[in-house]
Amino acid sequence: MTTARTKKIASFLALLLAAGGGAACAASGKSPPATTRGVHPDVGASADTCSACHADATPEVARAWRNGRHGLELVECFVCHGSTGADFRLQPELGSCAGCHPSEVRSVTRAAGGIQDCFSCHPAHALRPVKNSSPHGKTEGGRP
Amino acid sequence: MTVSRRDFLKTTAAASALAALGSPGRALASPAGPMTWTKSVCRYCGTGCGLYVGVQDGKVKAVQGDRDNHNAGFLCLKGFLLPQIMAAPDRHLHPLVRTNGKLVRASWDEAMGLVASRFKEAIEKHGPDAVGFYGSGQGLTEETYVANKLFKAGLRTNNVDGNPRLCMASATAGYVSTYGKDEPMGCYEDIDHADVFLIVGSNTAEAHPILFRRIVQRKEKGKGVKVIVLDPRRTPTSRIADLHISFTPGTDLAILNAMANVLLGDGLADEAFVKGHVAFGEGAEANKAFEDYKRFLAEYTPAHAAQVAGCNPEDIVKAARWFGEKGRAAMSMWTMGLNQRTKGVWANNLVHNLHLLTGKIGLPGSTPLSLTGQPNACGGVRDGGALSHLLPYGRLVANEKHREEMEKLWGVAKGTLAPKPGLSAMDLFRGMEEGKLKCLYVMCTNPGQSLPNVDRYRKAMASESSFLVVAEAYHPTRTSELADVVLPAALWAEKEGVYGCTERRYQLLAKAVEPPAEARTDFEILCELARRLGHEKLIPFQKPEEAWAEILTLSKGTPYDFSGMTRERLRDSHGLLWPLPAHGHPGTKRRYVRGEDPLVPAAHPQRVLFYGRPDKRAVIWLRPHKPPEEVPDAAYPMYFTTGRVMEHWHTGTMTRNCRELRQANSEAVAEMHPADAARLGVKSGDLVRISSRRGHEKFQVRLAEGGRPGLVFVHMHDDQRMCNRITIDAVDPVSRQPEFKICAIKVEKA
Amino acid sequence: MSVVAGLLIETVVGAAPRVAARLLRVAGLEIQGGDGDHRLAAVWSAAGGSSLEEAAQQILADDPEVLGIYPTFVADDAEEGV
Repeated sequence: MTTARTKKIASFLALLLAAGGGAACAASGKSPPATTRGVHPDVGASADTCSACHADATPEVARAWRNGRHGLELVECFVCHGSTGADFRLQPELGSCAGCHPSEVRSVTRAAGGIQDCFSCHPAHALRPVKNSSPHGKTEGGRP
Repeated sequence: MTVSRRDFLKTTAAASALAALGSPGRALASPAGPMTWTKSVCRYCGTGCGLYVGVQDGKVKAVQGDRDNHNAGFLCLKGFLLPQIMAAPDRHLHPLVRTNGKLVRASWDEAMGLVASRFKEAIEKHGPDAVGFYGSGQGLTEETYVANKLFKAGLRTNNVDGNPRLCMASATAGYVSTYGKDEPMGCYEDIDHADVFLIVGSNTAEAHPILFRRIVQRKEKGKGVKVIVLDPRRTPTSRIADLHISFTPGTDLAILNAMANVLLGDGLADEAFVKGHVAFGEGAEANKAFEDYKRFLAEYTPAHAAQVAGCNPEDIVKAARWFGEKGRAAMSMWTMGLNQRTKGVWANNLVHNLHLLTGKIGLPGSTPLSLTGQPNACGGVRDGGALSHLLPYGRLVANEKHREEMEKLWGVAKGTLAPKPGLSAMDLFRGMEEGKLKCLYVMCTNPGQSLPNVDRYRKAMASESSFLVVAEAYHPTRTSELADVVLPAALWAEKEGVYGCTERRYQLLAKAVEPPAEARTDFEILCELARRLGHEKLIPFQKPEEAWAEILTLSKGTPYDFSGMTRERLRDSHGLLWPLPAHGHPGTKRRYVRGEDPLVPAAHPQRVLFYGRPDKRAVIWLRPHKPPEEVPDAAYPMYFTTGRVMEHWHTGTMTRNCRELRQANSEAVAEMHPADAARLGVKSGDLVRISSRRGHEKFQVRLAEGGRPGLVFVHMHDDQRMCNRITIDAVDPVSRQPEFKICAIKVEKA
Repeated sequence: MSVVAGLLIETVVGAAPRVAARLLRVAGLEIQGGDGDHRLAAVWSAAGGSSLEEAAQQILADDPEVLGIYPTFVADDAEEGV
């Protein structure tokens, strides 16, 4: 790498780090906090459903889910998040979405350098599609 | 393929950015080896969702909805988790034979030898009716067919029945009494055209989620679409209801009659349609007139019905007016709320009456669609005639012409088929109790948990004098634990065959993986039993598709005629709707409709032809409101009802093997209204003892705001806390279907 | 095109999906993922550091819901002299 290039990249870095300063203090110079893997208490939930407890434990999440299409059609928490205890997944896997939405998932993952997950455009729990430009194109049928 | 430096950098960049998010940051999951996808159908409910089974290293690893099937690629959470049912720890792997009171491992030869000899012995000593077969709406059509043919034409007993007797018999008898032939005339596509939905006795959101999804879509897309829900409880289905009517259990008969009363009074009856297509009847005779019906309905004013039912008369009027509004398509859907009743057939008739009175039938979006519970109750048992009073494809045991037809088709001597109907489900188990029925073969179902008043029949199944054979994919179940022989059966993706679901759609499940250990397909097991009983000429099949070829010939010329549904056609398609009487035929969306149903002549002068009955009319039956068999009284002051929840299916033997589902609603709890809980001095989580005249069980309480005061709901999926210790085994006199939905209980703190 | 950068994009709470939809139109920017709420991960390829700078500044100026763009990785892919 030439010296000139290195300088350019360094200045780019410096610029980017300062860029958000005007909008909100959250942006300037702060590095993103490390997020935890996500562990769920090993509750004995067999006499209940996730949503019953989470209505109290995480009310906004529960409400966002319940008021969205997945809540109405009872695509319950564990479909995306697995079960409790060691079986819990904080971040859903694309396979969960592909089970019902295979061509939408294919349309963004197979494209070269495509979007690697759904939640960039689909807000967690509400999952309502963002209206603007859809990357999904014409969804096709056919074998997986 | 070399990875360019650019790609490498981009991957690294992506990984770093994703890591900062908290994601694992690895490249998107690509499986260890290649995944092959096999076209199939969901193992669970009668919606019949198409899917692909993903196999890797010989194991089922994933499923994906079939976008080209009616479910448009969607699956409910149960279907989604299907892979986990396959390699479950309680898969039954080797034959077991009860020896000195204990089930011990035996070879296939020993086990089948014992079964054959015990059946032969019973028939020799006591006659053919000393043995019976209790099958399942989950068996593949070809499997059920072999059993039906073997027992009726080979062993010559009509003691062939199945668990659809517990769920669909009233719907069947309703269709047959009204139209002359079983099965709905509409299809799922009608949902996309309906303006009004009447959902009665169905918790569609939890029991038929993918159909619920389609209704939700229609409600969104259509203009002014209205949903009416009739259910004593407010369930998740009611979230989309524009009108929910709660009523005292069992009084829906009064409400439905009152709706007809309003339709007549408001001039919403289609007199021309009635004149051209409808007959009127009472009891078992279609010998009444329209005037008789009008007189009959006079007492069912909204006020009177509301008083009987404990609801608002204005709501009944509203429901009727929405349903009957001219120019709007009306679709009704129902399941166990109407079927599992001692007045189940009557309840079914009353729903059909609304459609016949208004002429809202046989038009896109206007149809009475009974929702089926099991994946193959329609295809295998109802259509295939594997019930004690039926022969294949609309034929009746008691009809001499039908028997002769079947004897010819099956190549057996005239007079081979017994002329009297055999024992239906409850009577099979009562026969065991009495000692009349010596041997029973149970395939793919769990009566030791699912029969009403279950403790009574568990005693019968466990008794020394009865020989019980159970073919099951899991062991122990509440039935296999009582058996004398438990045969390891292949499960779902391990075998090939046809399922026929709610909307007359037949579809092929392809085999995707091998069965484990010594498990065999029910088809193979039954074919071998036939050989050992000396009936290999009757059952010569090596593969299920050979049985299918024979089945096609039996359907030819009947109102089911699907003789054009060759195996190749099924393989290539994503389900086909019968009638489909010729090779090129596309299938039939709407029966009885000119231009759609190939059995209606193209030149027929009217738009519908109810060819199921000799008079070519459908019957409006005069069915009065009558109460359930057992209602609350001083000793047992509350109503008890049973049903299903989203997370589990049937007796839970499959769903409880899924990690996520085990942790969700697998325990049966007593759902009750907060007012009842307060009165009893209990709160959520407290243990109560629920007893009926038949038995008792303990459950945790769960408060349900949507519940109805005076009514307790418990689901059927728990193998430990069995609601059926409490339920009543009274049956509808015509359909012989038990009244799982209503009995009287008392509730005490435990 | 010779610079490749991994980026973490912070947005106003709940805005990530909307921002992502808008960012789909940006040439050279490939969205990799998000938490569905206020963060996006992306990879950016550009002709050089200065065009990256300019484009980033433009996004920050134009999109009030973008709070910050943090690089997690930067490299020059033309260093082998190709």
